[in-house]
Amino acid sequence: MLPLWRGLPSVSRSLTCRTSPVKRLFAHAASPLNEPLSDFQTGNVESNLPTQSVQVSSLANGLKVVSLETYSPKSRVGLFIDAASRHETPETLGITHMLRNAAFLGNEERSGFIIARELEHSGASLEATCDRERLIYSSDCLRDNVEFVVKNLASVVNKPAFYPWELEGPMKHLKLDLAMKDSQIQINVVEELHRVAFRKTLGNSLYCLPHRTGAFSPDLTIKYFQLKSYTEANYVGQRMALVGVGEVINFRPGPLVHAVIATEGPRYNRLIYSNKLLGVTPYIKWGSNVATNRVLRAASNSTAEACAASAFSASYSDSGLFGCYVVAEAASAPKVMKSVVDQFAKASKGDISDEDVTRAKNQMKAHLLMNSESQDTIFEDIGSQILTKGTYTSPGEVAAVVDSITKNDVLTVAKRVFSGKPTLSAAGDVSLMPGLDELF
Amino acid sequence: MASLIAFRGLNNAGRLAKLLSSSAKGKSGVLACKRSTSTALSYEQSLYNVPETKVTTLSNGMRVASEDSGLSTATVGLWIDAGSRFETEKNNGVAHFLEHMAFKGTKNRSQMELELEVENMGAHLNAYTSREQTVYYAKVFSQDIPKDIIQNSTLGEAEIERERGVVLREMQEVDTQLEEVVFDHLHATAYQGTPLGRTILGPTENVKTISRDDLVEYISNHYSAPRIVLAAAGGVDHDALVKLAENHFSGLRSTYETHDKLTPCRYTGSEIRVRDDDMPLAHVALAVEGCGWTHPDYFGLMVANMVSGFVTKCMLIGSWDRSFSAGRNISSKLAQDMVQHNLAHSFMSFNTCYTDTGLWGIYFVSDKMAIDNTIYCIQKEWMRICTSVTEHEVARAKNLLKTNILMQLDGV
Repeated sequence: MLPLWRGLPSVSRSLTCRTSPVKRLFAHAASPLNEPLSDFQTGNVESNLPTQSVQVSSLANGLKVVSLETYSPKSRVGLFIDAASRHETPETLGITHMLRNAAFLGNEERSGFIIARELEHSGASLEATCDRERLIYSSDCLRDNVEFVVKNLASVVNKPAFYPWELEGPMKHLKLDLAMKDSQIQINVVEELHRVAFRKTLGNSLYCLPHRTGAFSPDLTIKYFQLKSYTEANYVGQRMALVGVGEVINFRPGPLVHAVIATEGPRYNRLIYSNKLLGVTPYIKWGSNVATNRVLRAASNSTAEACAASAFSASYSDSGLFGCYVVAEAASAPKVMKSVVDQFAKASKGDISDEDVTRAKNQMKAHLLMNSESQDTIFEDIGSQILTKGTYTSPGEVAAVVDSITKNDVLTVAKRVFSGKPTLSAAGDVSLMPGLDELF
Repeated sequence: MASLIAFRGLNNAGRLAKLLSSSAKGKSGVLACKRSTSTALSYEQSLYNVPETKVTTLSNGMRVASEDSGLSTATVGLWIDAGSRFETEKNNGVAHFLEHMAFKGTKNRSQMELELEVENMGAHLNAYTSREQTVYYAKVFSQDIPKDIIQNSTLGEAEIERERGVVLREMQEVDTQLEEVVFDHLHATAYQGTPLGRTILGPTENVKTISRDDLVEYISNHYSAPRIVLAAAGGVDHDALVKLAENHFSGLRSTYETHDKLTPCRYTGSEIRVRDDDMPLAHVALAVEGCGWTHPDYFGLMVANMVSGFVTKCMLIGSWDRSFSAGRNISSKLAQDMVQHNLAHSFMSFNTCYTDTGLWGIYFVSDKMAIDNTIYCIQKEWMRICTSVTEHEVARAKNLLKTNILMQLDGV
């Protein structure tokens, strides 16, 4: 009910208003946001806090605890688990995607309700993400709540329950994810590239494919989860030795064709700057993009139609894919693909100038250091590095390594990579798309 | 054991480690190496641990603002108080067209020279135009802060002709993004008959006819020193930045003219419906007049947004969609309604602010048969927020807002 006096102010009230501050209309009394606050104090805390480095501790059970103090009011904390699509067997194919979607259901310690409500109340977020090599449970929270958030994350992996009545929701999400995947041609092209290049392990799909969506009973899910996170203490996935050779070309309606052509590239953290040699994402908005991007320059010179080309790379702990992503009109696809492959051949024959090397090094360093401005990138970098090799190299140290690279190093790697066995994945209007035998 | 915990802001490593290891082996683990003692900083204390924002006003009225965080990279740019709001019906689209012309070469270097120089050092040049702001910025290594940004743009006729085509293609692209379309319609009806009601890209006929003179006129009318802020964050030396600004921007107009004056935009409540029964989903925005950027109610409205929201990576507002795994456990009453009654697929509450006005509301995507019930639930929730929102919900919304704001500020 509305208080009546608001409509009919009494004489006595208007008199009190004149002498005491207004009790209602708080906004009217507050100071505008573009004026300095009168009671704001600065410099309460000692300034020049020492820069911290990454701290690694190992627990008796093998779990590694890694942290970096940045004095930020917001913390990011997460669990990195070395169990993802590349470790899946025929029985468990697709289970990582399922686990990701079922991440914050109830467990034996805490119900899903408690997890969601308590974390939201403290202002924390909850995320589960996966790539081909790891499953990550993470949260952004205010720094005072780290302990509380870790308690919740720990319960998720300590006592999984996967109650049958709760699994219905994640199942629905699986189907939604698959529908989204089907609508995005880029995802399909890259998924298919991995499938033909690696066949198993790294070739397993990130997605739980339609014929597998009903395959996971709660029991199997729990067993898998405990197996992966606990019993197999020294679990080592099947290591990739050979990159398969093949091509996959799918017709999809639309005027364009998307294609990725790749060879076995450098693995994680080793000379990943080599994609900068071919040219990557735009550096200048509305720019010509051909000043330094040699694949796009070659592609645009080969046709009058609009096209796009950029270096492509995917790095994993023991292997990687390296090549070029191309989008072209169906009719110009043969010319564009040919011109891109020519650039591979030229690079493998040593057609790389000093200027190219300096630029690639600068772009690589800029990429490393600009990315490390953000907490999110550092968080993921630390987790992945510790998981993959057990030690951490900071972006600054990697930049120093990049500095020491010589033109000869570049030529050696370029020769090896660009002359490797190619894999091709294309989708769209592929009526004129050349096959590998025509391109090489 | 192949899992690992990475976190920062850790001030009690021992207890956390115990917590994590206890249920795995039934016995608490021991830290293999002790963490070097660091100052245990609380959240409150950490809030003061941000670099000071230094602001200097030059003699021509231009302001230089910077925050030096000591990094080896920096972001530096010009924030200009000029966007589509300052256009007329005739030149609507000029501000955005200028964004396309900014990096097309200056008096001192051709476009190709500029691009080579920027790309050789790994820097990025970026720009965007909104209804009230035009922004040009660069991400660079601290030692290469750029010097010749927009002042001497040549605005060559050939480039203008080429960009016309690019802008028209961009318009086609925008027309396929229904969220953009809906928000343009929302502005068109909420601020009908005023400059805020127009689109940023402008109508096709304007894009086809914009001339070099229109561009030059817009620059001379609106790119004046008092309406520009040179801002920088990351590894920046404020004094050096001020010196750079004095050297390069001293030629800007410093006077205040009639065209610098902001005309108030009247808010009108109304609606636009574009009905197409063949489309699978309905995209709807519902808003009331909110407040401007500097209004004291700004944060109150943001908290109100968060009452129905959730922490998301991408935007500073409360939003929800069906992929959140919390399902019906989620705290937001509105999200619970959506899950329980199978209504909208996603929603996002927004608080779009301008200098003196704003739009506060909600945008949702739903099945065509669920629109009525979704709107009913939204109205019910808005009235509930007005009359009987609980202390508990407000506390949650404030925490969520804080995390969200801090997420936005992450990075340079």
